Amino acid sequence: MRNRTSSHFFILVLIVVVTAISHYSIYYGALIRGYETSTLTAVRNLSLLSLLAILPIFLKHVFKYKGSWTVYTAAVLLFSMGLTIQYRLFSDPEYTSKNDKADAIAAKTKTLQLHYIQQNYSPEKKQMMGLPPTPPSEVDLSQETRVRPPTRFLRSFYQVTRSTRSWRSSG
Amino acid sequence: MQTALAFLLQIDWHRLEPKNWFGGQVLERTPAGLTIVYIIAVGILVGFLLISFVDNFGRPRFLFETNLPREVTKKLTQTITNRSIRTWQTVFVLLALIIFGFQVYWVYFADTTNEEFQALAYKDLRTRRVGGSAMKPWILDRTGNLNAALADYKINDKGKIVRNYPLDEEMAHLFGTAYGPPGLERTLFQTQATEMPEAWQVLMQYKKPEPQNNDVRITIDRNLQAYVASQLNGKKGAIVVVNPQSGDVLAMYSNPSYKLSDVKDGTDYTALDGDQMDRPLLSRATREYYMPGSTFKTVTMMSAFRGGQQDFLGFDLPAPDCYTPYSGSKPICDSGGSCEICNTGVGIRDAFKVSSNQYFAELANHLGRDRMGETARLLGIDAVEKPNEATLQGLFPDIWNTSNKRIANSIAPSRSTMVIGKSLNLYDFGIEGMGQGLASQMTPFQMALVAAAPGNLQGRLIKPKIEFDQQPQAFSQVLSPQQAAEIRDIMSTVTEEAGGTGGAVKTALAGTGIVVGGKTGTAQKSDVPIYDPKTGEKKFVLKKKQDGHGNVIEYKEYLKYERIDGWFICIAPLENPQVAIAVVIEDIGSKFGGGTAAPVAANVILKARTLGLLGDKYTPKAPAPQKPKRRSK
Repeated sequence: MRNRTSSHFFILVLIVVVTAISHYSIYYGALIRGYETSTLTAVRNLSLLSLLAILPIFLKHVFKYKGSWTVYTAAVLLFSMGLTIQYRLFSDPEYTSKNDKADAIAAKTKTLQLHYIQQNYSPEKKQMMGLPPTPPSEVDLSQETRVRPPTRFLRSFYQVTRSTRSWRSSG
Repeated sequence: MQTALAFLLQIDWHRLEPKNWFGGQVLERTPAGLTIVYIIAVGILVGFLLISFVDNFGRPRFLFETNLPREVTKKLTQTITNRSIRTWQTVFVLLALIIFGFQVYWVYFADTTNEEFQALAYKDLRTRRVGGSAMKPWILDRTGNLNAALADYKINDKGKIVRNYPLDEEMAHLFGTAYGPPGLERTLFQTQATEMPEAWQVLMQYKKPEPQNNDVRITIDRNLQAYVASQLNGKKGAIVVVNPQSGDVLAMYSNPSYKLSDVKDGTDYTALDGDQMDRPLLSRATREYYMPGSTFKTVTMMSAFRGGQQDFLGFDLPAPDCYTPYSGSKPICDSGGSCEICNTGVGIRDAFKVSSNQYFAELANHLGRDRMGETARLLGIDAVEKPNEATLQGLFPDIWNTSNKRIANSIAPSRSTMVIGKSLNLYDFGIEGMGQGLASQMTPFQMALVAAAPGNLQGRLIKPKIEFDQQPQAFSQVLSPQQAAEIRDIMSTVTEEAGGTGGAVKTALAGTGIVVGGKTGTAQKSDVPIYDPKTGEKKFVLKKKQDGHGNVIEYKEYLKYERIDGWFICIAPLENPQVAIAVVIEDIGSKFGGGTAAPVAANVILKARTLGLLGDKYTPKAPAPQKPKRRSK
């Protein structure tokens, strides 16, 4: 593989795409567990990576850079992974809260348990648990209430760009 | 432009959502599928970068290097430096592989092979979090009815979904808590529920939203278990009920017990662990050693049958002679210090009925250590050479018939032992043959198996099982079917014939038609500490003595006493035993096993009959509905 700027630009674009996939995966996984991640933070992360993907073109044409792009591309790849991990962890109320960690865990646990019960338990079992005796059915996430990011931390894109946390400062 | 816009408006964009790519009906498939896409894509990207890196790496750094011969470039400083770096690279890669291998061992192998690791697994935060969110299957009793669940889920006052145990205290020792050594709750379905599936497993295995029913049936009968527990109310002891034909453990309870719902965290567990007076965490049924007393004579009798010595005639003489194993030895007398039959030429049937110590001590010496040891091993009792080896045998998971070793480990009994070494003299070995002295390492669980062996119609010891769907499996062929039948008949003399020590059983079962075979036992256990019921601490008296320098020092002398335990082991109904029972009750004072443990066993048999566990023949028929009487005008 030649050390061409276009080749590395292609890799960098791919990095942006896979990061978008990972962010959507985290967003969807959060919905399953009963909370919602910040879309604005996801946009921030992807915008940042997009800028970094375009940067080599400027460096080549404006500053006439002719060196190796490998280290730069590798750094951006690692950075994208870091952003993904940060988005996963700091979106999770269990991870970010300090004083109500137990409540956050309990809320996630209960959401998962109720999903499992809805999908798998027979009407008889549900009745024995004091739940409506419905037959096993699929879970429709759009019909569920979930923990949403507090808006006070997400009022502006400017705030998001400064924050390492996705939506919550502390518990 | 308008056409393109119209085309775009016609597209159902919702169908392009990732959740529809992987099958949104199973929720976890979407993040799992996207995770796999992400990992593959990152792998490809890393591959691109590696190719790029290698390409740059192999390229000459300076133009003058391009046309130099290979031998010359090898000697360049840069190449030499690289060689050194590569050596270090290799060392570090090897170290990384060793660490990786270590991790693989702990993650994949230690969980199934390392008992200590299993016991400490509850401390793993990930395991606890996964275990907390994953819903375990319900545990149902042998009937399989949801109404007879032994572990299910309920919504508590705070709206939290919590594991619920309808028989909380009664099942505590079998189920175990989230702390300390694991019980069935942590081993019965660990692979089904609490193990976090990898993303690829979610994609490959969970394709359709099929309702899962992982509920597990165990062999315990809920009603019998509850009844057995009630029989030990206010007493210390244990009851084990096994089906000798299938190995099904129908009930197993040890008192004092504890409430599973009371153990909310490690502190609660530690508090229970610190209760040395009652030791509620200890399953006396499987992990406490008792002196078996005369119930052990059943083992000696089986040994006699196996050795063709069932017609052996022994002595049963009055004090002071009684049975004197060798000249100068202390005599071995029957209960009360003299003789029960008081005759020469006593046979095994009469001796067993009245529980003659003299006869069975003499019989054990007549049979010899090897023969006794061989029979013991067939029954799951380890025959060791020296007394100190008897205390080092650990647990015996192999006696269980389970689907995996983890389950067997969690409910493994302590290994019962007897000493057969040459260092024992004839007196010691004779005492052992009648169930005292060095035969003091028996668990109630083991003694239930001792009863179960002749209770099996084929004379086999069937491995006990707790999982309902396990097929019966023999541990050993202890007796021939004929010998087993003869032993059952002899065991019935204890309960059915006049003068038998277990006559209370016949009285209790009068009118039911059930014939029982059994053996009573009363055993002394010395040096048992006395506890203060108020403080739970050991009682002591302060004494004074002089140390080496002549100074008077004070020390505590702990008070001890000789505890009498009552035993009864039995099988019922005699013609086709469906239950083998071992009952031990601690500290019965001046009473006997026949008057304390035997009536409890009789009650358990009656309850088993009511529950239909003794077969249709003995199950009480429901009264026929009465015809409505005609109203007189």
